[in-house]
Amino acid sequence: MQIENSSGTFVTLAKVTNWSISSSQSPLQTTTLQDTDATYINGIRSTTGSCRLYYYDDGTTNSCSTLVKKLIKARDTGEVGVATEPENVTFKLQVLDGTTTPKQIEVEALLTSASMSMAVGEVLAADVAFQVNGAPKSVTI
Amino acid sequence: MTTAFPALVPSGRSFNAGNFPVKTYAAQDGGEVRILYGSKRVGMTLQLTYQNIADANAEKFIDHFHEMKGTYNRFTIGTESRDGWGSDDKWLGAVEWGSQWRYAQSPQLQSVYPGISTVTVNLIAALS
Repeated sequence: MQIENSSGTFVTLAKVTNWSISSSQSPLQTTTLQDTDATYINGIRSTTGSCRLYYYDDGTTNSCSTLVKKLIKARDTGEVGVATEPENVTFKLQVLDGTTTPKQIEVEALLTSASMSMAVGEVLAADVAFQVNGAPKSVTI
Repeated sequence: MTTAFPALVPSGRSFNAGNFPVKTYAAQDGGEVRILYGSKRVGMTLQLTYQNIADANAEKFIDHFHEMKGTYNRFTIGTESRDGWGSDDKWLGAVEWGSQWRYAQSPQLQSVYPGISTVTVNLIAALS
């Protein structure tokens, strides 16, 4: 996974063990009283996705907490119910297939959940789900 | 030139057959007297829904409402508005019974998608 940093550069962020992205739309029905079968036109699209990150630090390219911390924020004023708002993230989900132009989808997303699970003998992993804001910024698939 | 009612096939239609001009008087003993004041059925109502149509078509209803001076003028509607009705069109009409349609209220327009709207039109039959 590559995430866009504050200077607008994409940096490899985390070791992703799996990711998924799903796009759907709600067609608008245009059936009239003379029709016998339902007719439709394109409607609003929505894209969601998720990924699982291995949560360890190899000192170079794996900083899983960067993404998780976009959603999980500590209270910052002493008020129990007040903390910094979640941050939107722009990242690329890639398939490194050995070609010069890897298959990838670049999206701006709102994180909808981030959960970490730990078990004895396993690497700490974080599951992150996201809602894409608008259409993907680029699609090369 | 008067703008014609948009020739579009609705996606929904609701028709009320109205009634003859009847006045009913109830006597104290429970009896009922009914007086028929006219020979023509009046007060038919027709609600037409045009779901997810192009804004250019939705605009035609607003334009027609404006041309009819709102609820003031009477007009006729095309056969398209009765498409899908499997019997004689006159049974869903007003002209055949001496009336014409007028707007009962302004067309309701709901924007649902860029360039797409849903319009609901409520008509009532007026004898004159």
